[in-house]
Amino acid sequence: MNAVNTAASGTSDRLDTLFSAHYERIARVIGRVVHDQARAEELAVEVFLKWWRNPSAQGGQAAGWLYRTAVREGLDELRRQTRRGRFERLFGFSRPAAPSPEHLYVVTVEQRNVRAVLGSLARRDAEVLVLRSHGLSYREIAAALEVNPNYVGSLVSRAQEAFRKEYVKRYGSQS
Amino acid sequence: MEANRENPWVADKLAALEPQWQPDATGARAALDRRLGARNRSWMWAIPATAALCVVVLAIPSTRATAQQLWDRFVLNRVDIVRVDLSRLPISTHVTIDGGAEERVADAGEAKRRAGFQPYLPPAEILSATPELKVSGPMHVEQTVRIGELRAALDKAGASDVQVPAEWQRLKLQIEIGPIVSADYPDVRIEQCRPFEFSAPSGIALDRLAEVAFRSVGVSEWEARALGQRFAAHPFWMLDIPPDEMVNLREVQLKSGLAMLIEGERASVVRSTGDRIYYVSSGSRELSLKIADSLPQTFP
Repeated sequence: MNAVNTAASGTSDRLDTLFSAHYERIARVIGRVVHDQARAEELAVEVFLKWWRNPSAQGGQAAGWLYRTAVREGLDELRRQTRRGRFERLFGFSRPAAPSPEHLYVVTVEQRNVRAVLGSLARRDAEVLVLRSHGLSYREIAAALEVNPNYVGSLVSRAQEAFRKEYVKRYGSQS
Repeated sequence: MEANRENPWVADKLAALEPQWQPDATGARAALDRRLGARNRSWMWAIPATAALCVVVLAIPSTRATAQQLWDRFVLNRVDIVRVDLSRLPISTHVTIDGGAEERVADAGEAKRRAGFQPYLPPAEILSATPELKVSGPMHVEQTVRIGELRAALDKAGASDVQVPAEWQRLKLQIEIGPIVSADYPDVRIEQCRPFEFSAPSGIALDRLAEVAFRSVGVSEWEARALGQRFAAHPFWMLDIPPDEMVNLREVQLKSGLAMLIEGERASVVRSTGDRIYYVSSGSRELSLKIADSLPQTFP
């Protein structure tokens, strides 16, 4: 490869590497918040496109940037869906879900409740909880949210407490 | 241990969100490539489908004055935008590309040899990366009018009262575009080419042809006539952007002259000078304007 092509090609190569290494995890992070797989994957592609378009994201902390953007995309979508859901209910557009086995129903209800609580939390709390529940270490969370790793433990505890309170307020005592 | 202070009940609740599906990395990669491809696709190569009839209107005054010539040729370097979907024009298009589409070249010197002009790039203080340079074309577009198709389109557009002269059958219009030099930086694309050359048979009432063409894609009688008059007064090339495409358009005054800003998913600037048409696209309006303003007005 000659020198002229190195810069642009370097970014392309980096995109290839990042996509191979992180796409599935990024899609699943968004999938925790956005129920629909197709939409979650669409947003995951959007995250990589944003990385490509944003030179300031292409530094050494690319993975952190991807996770931060992914969780924000997911939460923004969750809020959009919540708003849309309110309008649809208001105008009677919503339809009951198709019948499903009881355990699936319970899981679905639980997922819906958890997502509703996440959508109502402060953005930072929701980001911390989604990333932590996806198995990111404190160090990875610190890199993604650009905070001091020493504070992540406190952030997680605080976010969990906010979640617990909101969940109990909405759906009754812990069970 | 990191999890010592964590609430297991909350962790259990959140575990319910674990997706039960497997991401489709192959499909996603293809989707990403399509999006990147759309971004990188040359803007000027989008021209052929509509090029010739778009510029028909430019030829009006001169065509009449030089009716003794077999072909009239016109050089078009001004660009303007119309919110009409000209891809629906009922006209057959044949495109020939010499030299291939988007072939990578080693440096600006090779680009100059291939394109026949020196490509101009923004100074390093605006874009410091080394761009990937490509040369495309030139492209020759020939379009043929078939009055049966034109009449059918007029009927469909509710303009069946419009008369289509029989002598327009198999009327040919030609346009030469390029070569085009494109420069790809991370998130920025710059394209440039010399003004287009448009040819039409002498003696054809091109103003009327343009008006009828506009009517065939649903433009109102008044608007179609006004468009024709507008272009007759100040010839330029029309870039069509369909009315349902979500973009903001505005003319902007740069230090180097007027330019057209097109803001949709990306911010694009179209600017023409005496001997060149520039197109700059990036994710930032400020950056696109700054780059467009840095490209020279005239060339030695």
